[in-house]
Amino acid sequence: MKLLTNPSFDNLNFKLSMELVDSKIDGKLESYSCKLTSHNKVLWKRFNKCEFGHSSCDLQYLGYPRNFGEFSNATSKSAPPKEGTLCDMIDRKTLFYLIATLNASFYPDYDFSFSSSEDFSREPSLEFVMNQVDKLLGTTCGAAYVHKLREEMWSTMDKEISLKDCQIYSFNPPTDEDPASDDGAFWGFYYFFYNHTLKRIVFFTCKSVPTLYDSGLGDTLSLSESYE
Amino acid sequence: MTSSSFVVKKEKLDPSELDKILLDFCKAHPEGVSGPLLKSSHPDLDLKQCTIRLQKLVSEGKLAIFKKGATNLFKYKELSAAQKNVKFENEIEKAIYDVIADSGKIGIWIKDLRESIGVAQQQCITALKSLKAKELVKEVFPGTGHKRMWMLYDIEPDQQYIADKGGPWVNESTGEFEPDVGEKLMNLTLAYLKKQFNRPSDNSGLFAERKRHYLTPAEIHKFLEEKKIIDAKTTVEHVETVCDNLVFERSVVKKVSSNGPVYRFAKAMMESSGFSSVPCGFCPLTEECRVDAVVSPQSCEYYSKWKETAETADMLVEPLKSVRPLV
Repeated sequence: MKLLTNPSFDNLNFKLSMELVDSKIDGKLESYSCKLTSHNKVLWKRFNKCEFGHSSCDLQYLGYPRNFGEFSNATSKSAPPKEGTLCDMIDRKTLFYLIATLNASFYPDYDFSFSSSEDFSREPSLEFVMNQVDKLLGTTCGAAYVHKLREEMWSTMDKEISLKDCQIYSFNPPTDEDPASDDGAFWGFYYFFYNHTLKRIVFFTCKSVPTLYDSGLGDTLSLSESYE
Repeated sequence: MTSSSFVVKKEKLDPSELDKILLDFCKAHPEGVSGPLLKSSHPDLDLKQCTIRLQKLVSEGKLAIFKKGATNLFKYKELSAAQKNVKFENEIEKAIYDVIADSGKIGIWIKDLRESIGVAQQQCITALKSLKAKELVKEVFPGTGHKRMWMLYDIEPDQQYIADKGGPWVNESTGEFEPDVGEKLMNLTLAYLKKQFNRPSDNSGLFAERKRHYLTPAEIHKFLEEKKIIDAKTTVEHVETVCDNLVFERSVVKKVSSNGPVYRFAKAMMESSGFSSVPCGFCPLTEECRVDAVVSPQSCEYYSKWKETAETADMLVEPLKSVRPLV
């Protein structure tokens, strides 16, 4: 996955790293092109070999999105659930794109190649996702997010990827496997906005870490060097 | 002037010279070098100094120490080809290599590695790539969570890294379950336990004898491995599963001891006599069963099947047909 340069995203990322009273928000917006690098192609081959005899159009089960209970309560009055679908599915190519995005974003510390498809889920709607994000960032950051950042963030994302035309996925690993929990985060999310036509994914991740947490070995000098 | 007995003077040698003598001696004796062996071939060496030097060589990684019975043996350690002429490009590589070497079988997360040395991300990546090309280090997954772990090239990764493919009875390429493999393992395990059970008594008393009958899964695993029935991918846990299966079949008895489960062959308490296995004992229609009725011993399927079993071959079944079955 090739990281696309986007100065407005860089600007937003700077704003998404906020120091608050007892916590720190660490957010990241990245835009990736679904063009596979040669390294990706090697991984794609390995990815296909791992599962016995699967092909790229095979579907795999996804997990449930976080806070799915709220969504079902909200929409139960409007539309009945689709017949016969207990669970969302994903094809392996898309799953590989999501995994490759995670790998590219968290390089070199993490490798998500062995993640199960059940750690990912399909978000039911854009409104639902916006609601979840606004809720988390709004309650944590207060007015700084709601009045200043929120509008800019969503409109910039819309310009980059046309949010209405996206399939939205999220990554929900168990707590002990979550990179956010390595820093002792209170909460964290990983959203993928996948525009099939543009062949592009906008990856939006954010977490809230307590500021008093000593997140590494070594002295402050080495810490400042690694956070370049 | 001179006394009739000689006293061999034990010289204190220069440490590096002594090291060379010791290393050469260990190389010449690949089965292991013990104190007495060294003394008998090199009586001129001061044994105390030798012991100190030998232990120093072990800590330097040039010798390995292992126990055989009660004696300690020293063995020459073959360095891997890469280590023999290891050449680090810079200090960072050496520091990274040392930290990785310390992490042993578990390995170290790349972020922890960076932070413990205090090096920038890009420098760390370049150094690791260079070490990887020299075949000194390797990456392992899956580690805890999704962390990328690094360890030394020639170290066997810890158990947590070996993905459990489901056991020897799962075909690796197709993922299918192969019942034959499981059955074969069960039969062989049972035979081994039976052999242990039937070992001639050594008159050490009833309790000791009964204790000898029990085998741990580890011992069974070792036996199967030695006979090349299983390979390294089958773990002790898989052998335990096989033993548990035998317990469910009532051929083997399991006892939970402080060191884990132990198993022994279960000898049947008494030979089952044919009469006790007559199906009438548990037939729900015994009340209605009469000779020449709708339900009768002559027409009974279970009865005819029971007749055919080996236990009843010697018995006279004919007279029974005319007798009303016992309630």
